Amino acid sequence: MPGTPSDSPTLDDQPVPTAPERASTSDAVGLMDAALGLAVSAVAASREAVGRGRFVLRPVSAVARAPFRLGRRLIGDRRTGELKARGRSERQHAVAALSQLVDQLTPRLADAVLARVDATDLVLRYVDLDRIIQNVQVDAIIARADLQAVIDRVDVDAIIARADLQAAIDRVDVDAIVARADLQAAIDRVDVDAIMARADLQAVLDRVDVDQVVSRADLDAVIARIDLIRLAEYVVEGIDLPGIIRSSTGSMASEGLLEVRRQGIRADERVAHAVDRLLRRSDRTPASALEADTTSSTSPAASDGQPPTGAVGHGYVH
Amino acid sequence: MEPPAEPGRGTLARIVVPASARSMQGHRAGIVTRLLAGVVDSTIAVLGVGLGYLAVLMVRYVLSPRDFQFVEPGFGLLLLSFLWLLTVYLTLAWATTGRTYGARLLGLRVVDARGRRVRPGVALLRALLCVFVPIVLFWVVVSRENRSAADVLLRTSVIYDWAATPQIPQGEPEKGDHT
Repeated sequence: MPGTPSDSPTLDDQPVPTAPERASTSDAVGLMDAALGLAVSAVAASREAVGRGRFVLRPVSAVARAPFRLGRRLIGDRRTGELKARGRSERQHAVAALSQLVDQLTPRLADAVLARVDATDLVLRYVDLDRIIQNVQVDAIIARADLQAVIDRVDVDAIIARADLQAAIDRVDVDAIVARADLQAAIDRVDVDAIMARADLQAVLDRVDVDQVVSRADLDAVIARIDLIRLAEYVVEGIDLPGIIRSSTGSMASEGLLEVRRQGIRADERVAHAVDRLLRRSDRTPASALEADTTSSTSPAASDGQPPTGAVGHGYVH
Repeated sequence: MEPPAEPGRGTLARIVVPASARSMQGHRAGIVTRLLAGVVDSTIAVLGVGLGYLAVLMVRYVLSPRDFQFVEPGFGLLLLSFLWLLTVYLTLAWATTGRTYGARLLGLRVVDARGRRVRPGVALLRALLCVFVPIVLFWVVVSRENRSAADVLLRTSVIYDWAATPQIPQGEPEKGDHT
């Protein structure tokens, strides 16, 4: 708000001069006033004298102007032009000198004035900042500003470090956000195969209680959906049931024959063991008929759930 | 039916073979069982020669009963007949089922390097070697793989196969067989 006249600085605010300074100042002011009054009186007297002597001097002036008019006609406008040019030159020179003088004096004068005046206080007193701000076009300023440069200079990490994110999160209505989100589109963009490839499914399976899962399953319903006849046919075909019957009911399956075979294998092992000892070499290992297994000691016992045999004859008939 | 991955170790073997003998199924047999099987097969061949001799006598008797006399074939002819009959018998048995009667008794089977039934030519060569050079069998004693000289030459094996595992027919390669 602009200040009232009573608030403006007055002469009373100036420093109080001393007694000699006050006397010299009053003398100078009085002298100037006297000179001014004299000049005003002189002008008034001359006006009065001119007014009274106009009728007397008019014939005289007419006579006196005659030679001037005659001279102007005789001399012509040439002389007048020279005078005008000279006058113009002098005027321009005077204006330039005066401008230079003003340029030199203005900063010093402004410094002197501002040194004695609190400019901020003046602005606060006399300037309506609210009106100025209302008239400012903020959008235009923002449009011209380089916001990216401003953002680059901002230390977001420091801001986040000082921010109370938990409080901000507590104020977020996640349900509302999820309700508005297009989850199907988000799911369509997810590469499930890649995720599964990186997942440790074995660890997941280790944590699953399969027994509990199976105990909750409705096995009766599962069995009801199975075609048991087809399953039985499949099993019979897979296990060669005719071969089993043939092998288990024929003369080849008699206990005597099995004993002969057992004794034969035992004799094979003993002979091999004796020969190996005679030749002072390690016992031979069981050998499969497949060439790929001839150098391997892999025993089919592993597939039968039995411990692998060592040398021939050391793991068979006891 | 899916062919067995290895001879003597199929589903049938796991069902019908006693648990104590399953671990040996598919392994190469030793000298004793093979000799016993050979003895049985030789006995069969001898019986075959004898039956053949009787058949010849019967034919001769039928053709000329009055002039019938017991002929003396001689040892050489009998031996030759025995060897010929044994060779034919072994060849047919190995090329068809992989097992002779003696092998069935002892639970043995002849297979090739891939566990399949041997080819007829291989079976014939193997029978000739075993019949006319029977000493080749005894390489089993010193072989660390229980293979006879004939097995080494012909890349065959004699394995324990108590369950009479169905054999893969010739010319039907197993999975992963590129040869």
